Amino acid sequence: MALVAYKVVLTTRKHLVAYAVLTLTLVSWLSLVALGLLNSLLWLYEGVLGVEEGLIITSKGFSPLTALVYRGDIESRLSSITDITVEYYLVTPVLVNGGFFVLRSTSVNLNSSCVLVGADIARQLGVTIGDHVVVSSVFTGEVYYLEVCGYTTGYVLEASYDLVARIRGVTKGYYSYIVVKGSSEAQSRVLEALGVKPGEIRLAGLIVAVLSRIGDNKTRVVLYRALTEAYITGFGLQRDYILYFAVTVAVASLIGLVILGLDFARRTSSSLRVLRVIGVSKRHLLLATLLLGLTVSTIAYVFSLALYTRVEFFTLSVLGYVFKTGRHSELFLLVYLGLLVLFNLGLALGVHREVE
Amino acid sequence: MEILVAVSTLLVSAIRRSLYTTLLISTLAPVLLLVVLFSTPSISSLEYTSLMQDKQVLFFSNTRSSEECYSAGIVEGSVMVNSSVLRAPILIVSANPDRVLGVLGLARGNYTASSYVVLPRDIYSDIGKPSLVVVRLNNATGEYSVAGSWGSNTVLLVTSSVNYHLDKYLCLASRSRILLDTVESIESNLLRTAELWVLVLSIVYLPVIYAAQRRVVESLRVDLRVLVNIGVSARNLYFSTTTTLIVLYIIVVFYVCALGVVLVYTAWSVLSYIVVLPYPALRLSAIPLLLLEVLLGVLVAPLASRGVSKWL
Repeated sequence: MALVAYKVVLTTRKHLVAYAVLTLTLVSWLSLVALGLLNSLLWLYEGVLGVEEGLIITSKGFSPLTALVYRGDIESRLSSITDITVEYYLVTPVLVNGGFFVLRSTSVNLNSSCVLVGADIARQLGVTIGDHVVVSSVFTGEVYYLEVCGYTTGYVLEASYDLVARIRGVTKGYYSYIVVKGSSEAQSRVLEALGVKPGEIRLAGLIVAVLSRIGDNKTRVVLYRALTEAYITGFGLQRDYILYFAVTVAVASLIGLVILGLDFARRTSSSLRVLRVIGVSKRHLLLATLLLGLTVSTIAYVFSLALYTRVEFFTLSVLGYVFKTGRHSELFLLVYLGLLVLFNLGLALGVHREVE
Repeated sequence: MEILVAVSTLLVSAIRRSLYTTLLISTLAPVLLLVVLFSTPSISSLEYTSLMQDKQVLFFSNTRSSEECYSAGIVEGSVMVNSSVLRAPILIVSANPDRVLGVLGLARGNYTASSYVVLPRDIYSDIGKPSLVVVRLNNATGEYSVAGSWGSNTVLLVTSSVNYHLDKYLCLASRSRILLDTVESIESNLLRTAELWVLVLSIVYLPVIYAAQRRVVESLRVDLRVLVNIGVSARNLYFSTTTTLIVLYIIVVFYVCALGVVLVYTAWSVLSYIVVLPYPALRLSAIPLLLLEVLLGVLVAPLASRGVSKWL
């Protein structure tokens, strides 16, 4: 009986269903956008530096752009560990045409006047291969005239290590962060070699070990789940608080769906009354409407997901770098649940009132 | 007078029967989120700048990007010392040498000449640290005193008497100023996105606001019938209902706004026990969006009041 009632309401109120799907899609899309954008803030350094997996070793500081780790120190600690690949990177903030960019060392063999430019940066600066860029160091205050020798991936400029070290104003041997790749077992041994107790090691995706010197030849290691997290913590900004804030904003943006559910029930009241008169029980009517609510919510959510992944109407950029909105299924499921619960709550309350 | 009486009757009835709750829920998302997003502590109020040594740096720009900028340009030229000729890019700056060389830490003596040259460190050593060099630029040669060397790969020619057309700028700014400008630019970008998001949310919430207002009107059906019975005309009834909705809506919007402010400060007070957070403050840029939210509700009210006289 409930299915018949469901079919009747669905076929007689097609325009209403379409209207509800459209509104729910837009609200759900905005909720996904809020969640995605706020969450993407937590992956700023990962996005700019192109760090996605592995074990990152860096040091305590203002940001990974200012942190320094001594290569010799790390090499001596990791010398006994095999089956790992270690990549050393030195990064520094630089000014190009008054704008802030990140210059990173590369293992590609480049001469001392050459720079590789990320495709987005090249577009932004309007330079192509063979052009010159004037790079200013924010550490030494010196100005470098460099030729664009090629393009690179990511939102960075790349140059030889020696040049980056000169621009950064550090002596050779210092790096900003080190990426260690290898099996989980090898990474555990690396962490142990850095001084992490075996019980504290939890390996998943990306792990960031931040070293801070606490005395002569003694360092303390703190582990984080992300590079951005490791550095925002220093300013009292906890990753979890930002995430809770994002979830609150996303769910709060759905709150009006209760009213929409109530309105949907009001607009279907004539059909519900007819069904009640011909003998459909209240329970079956409620079940049919909730089933309809589930259908509408699910269709709207699928559409909103498609909108979210295909339409880049909202972009968040920091100094020209456009954040990549993440696709975290557990967070997206939360939006679906919010959509489902709030719309169906309004619907259930409305049907209860209309049928009475 | 008739409208005034009708409006006050409908308002009192709506408030007594808590009909504003529906309106409150419908405005909660766009207004509360607007207040919350625009009250987040300013990133620039974080003490970033104190972490950096306040040193002045030079940077090259196509525009006057700082308060202190000098005309500059880069041309390919050559430096001649004795018999050796070295080709190098030459950065020409039209400025008082003392000012620019001081920033590079080369102001060890009094620079009395109008022009000085700073050589790349390796070239300076290779050619025996000369005190005078001849610089050739576009077939014009000139002899200049060498102020010292720097780590750059360009030859710096600072001159207060310019004979060249310079269309770019060499700017001076403190590191803390650059950092602060950068942080402020990040913050303004974030707020711009938040502004657009709230704007779209407000528009998307129009059907919700309409549904809430319609619900209020329907709940006032009995009161409307009483008003008709005591002689209120259909036209006045429509205007009274619309006015009631508008007044109620405006009250609710400002109530939610105040609620948001209280919420933000309460959250800040609680969180400040756990983490060090800068003080929140509602930014003035939220006001146009708040007024837009009010305007949207006002525009919807006549639609929600449609056909009230036909029911009775």
